[in-house]
Amino acid sequence: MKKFVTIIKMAIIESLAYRGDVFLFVASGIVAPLISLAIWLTVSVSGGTPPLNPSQIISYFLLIMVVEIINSAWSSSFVSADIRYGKLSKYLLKPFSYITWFIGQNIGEKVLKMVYLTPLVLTLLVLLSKGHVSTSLEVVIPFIISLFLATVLTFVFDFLIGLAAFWMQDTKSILDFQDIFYFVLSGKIIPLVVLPTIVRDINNFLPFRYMLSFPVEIALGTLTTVDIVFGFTIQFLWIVLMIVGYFYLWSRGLRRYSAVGA
Amino acid sequence: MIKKYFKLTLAIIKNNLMVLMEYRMRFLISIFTAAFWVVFQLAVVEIFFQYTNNLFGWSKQEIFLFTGFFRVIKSIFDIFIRTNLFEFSELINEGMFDFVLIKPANTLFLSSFRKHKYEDIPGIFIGGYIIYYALATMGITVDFTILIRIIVVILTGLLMYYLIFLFFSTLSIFMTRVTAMSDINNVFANSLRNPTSVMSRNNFIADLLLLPMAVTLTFPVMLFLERGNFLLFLIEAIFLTLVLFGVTKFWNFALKHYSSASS
Repeated sequence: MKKFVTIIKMAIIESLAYRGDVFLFVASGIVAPLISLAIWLTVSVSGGTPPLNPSQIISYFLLIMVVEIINSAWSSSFVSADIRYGKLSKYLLKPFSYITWFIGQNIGEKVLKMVYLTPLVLTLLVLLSKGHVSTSLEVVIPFIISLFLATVLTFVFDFLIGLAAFWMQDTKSILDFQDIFYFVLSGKIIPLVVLPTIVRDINNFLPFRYMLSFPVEIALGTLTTVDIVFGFTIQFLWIVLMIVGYFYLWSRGLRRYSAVGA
Repeated sequence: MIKKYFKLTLAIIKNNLMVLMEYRMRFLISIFTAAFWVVFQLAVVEIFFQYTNNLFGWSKQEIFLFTGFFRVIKSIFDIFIRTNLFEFSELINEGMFDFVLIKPANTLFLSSFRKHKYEDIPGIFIGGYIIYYALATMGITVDFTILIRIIVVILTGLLMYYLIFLFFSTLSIFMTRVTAMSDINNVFANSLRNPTSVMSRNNFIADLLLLPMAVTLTFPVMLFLERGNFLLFLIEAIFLTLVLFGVTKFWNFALKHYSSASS
């Protein structure tokens, strides 16, 4: 535990050293959903009747903004590069696991991101309390649980993509496909409710919805209790699958791994 | 001088083609990913127009036209420029920028155009087809004049896109690390797919904040569709010139204040 806390502290210090870069990440994370929000509001004022009213649209994208920054993961390209260029070797000698390093880095950097994000969250709490987000415990508790699970799911999924480098010289294509599926099916660009029914039905069994949209849908109160239980079940099953996949791929990958030099 | 840079460009193209041959599968897969992205973008437009018949005065075909132009501009940027500007921060951070500085060629040229990613070439053709399709549905035949105007829109957009990211890359010299380039690129990509008036709805402050995006694609497309006037052309020309001048000055200023991490 002490090593883990040390990793987090190191990540915080590194983030503070590059606080401008972290700020740009947070700013990008805030602006991107605002663009989608602006377009959907324009659909409403252009005489359209989208399935979410303007108030719901605002709540949806503001929540997407916050949830995405909290559950973001970025380790796949670093994992892939470490494996391909042999830099993984130095981590194998350290007194903690490789994934622990990335978990610590992820948490540490998010500490600073939350400092930047806090003014936005406070504004959000004021705005959304008049909107479609309930602050009752019946909503807040499942939201926090689903957000935590979404963070775990996103992180492990992203890490697994990086591990493909044990078998593939070029993982860029996989990363590109991951981006496409995430953009389309997570609810980042468009609310999943506007997708065709068959796509939504299939997506309910895929992991992408549970990385981003599911916690937001809980907070908006658009899900019934049955939907929430179903969602938690699928989310949990995917996490278990991903973790089992991680242990399997990591052990098999290490057997294949070789690096030149010390 | 021209002969020198011509030879240098040929050498760069040759090197990058060799890299492409090393990762042939990536090129084949990129055809699918480019097509998939475009299908998704067009599907999003279709979804918007399920609920309305115009987006703040813009028709579906005009939004498709934006998608087409954006795809062509982004593909060209991704092929020739993106890798260089996005890796620039790493060069600074690891002290490798010195090796670019000491080379007998213009630093900006090498920093911006050294590495190419030809697997993004399919995007140009896909974008070009969407432009052709959108114009055809608007009853506009692509003749020589229209083709020239298309090229002008693309070159204008590409120049502005390049200048915006050159600015962010140059910040690396002062901030040491700017790795948020991909995220910033996603923000611009999201905003360029639609006219800025769709997002701002003529709100003055929003228009001001979105002015770089407007100059990149909205104004050129408006002028192309003859929806703009001479004043718009003037704003476009002046703003573009100012940004070109400003970013180049900023680059030169940054180079003078660069200190190496390695020496």
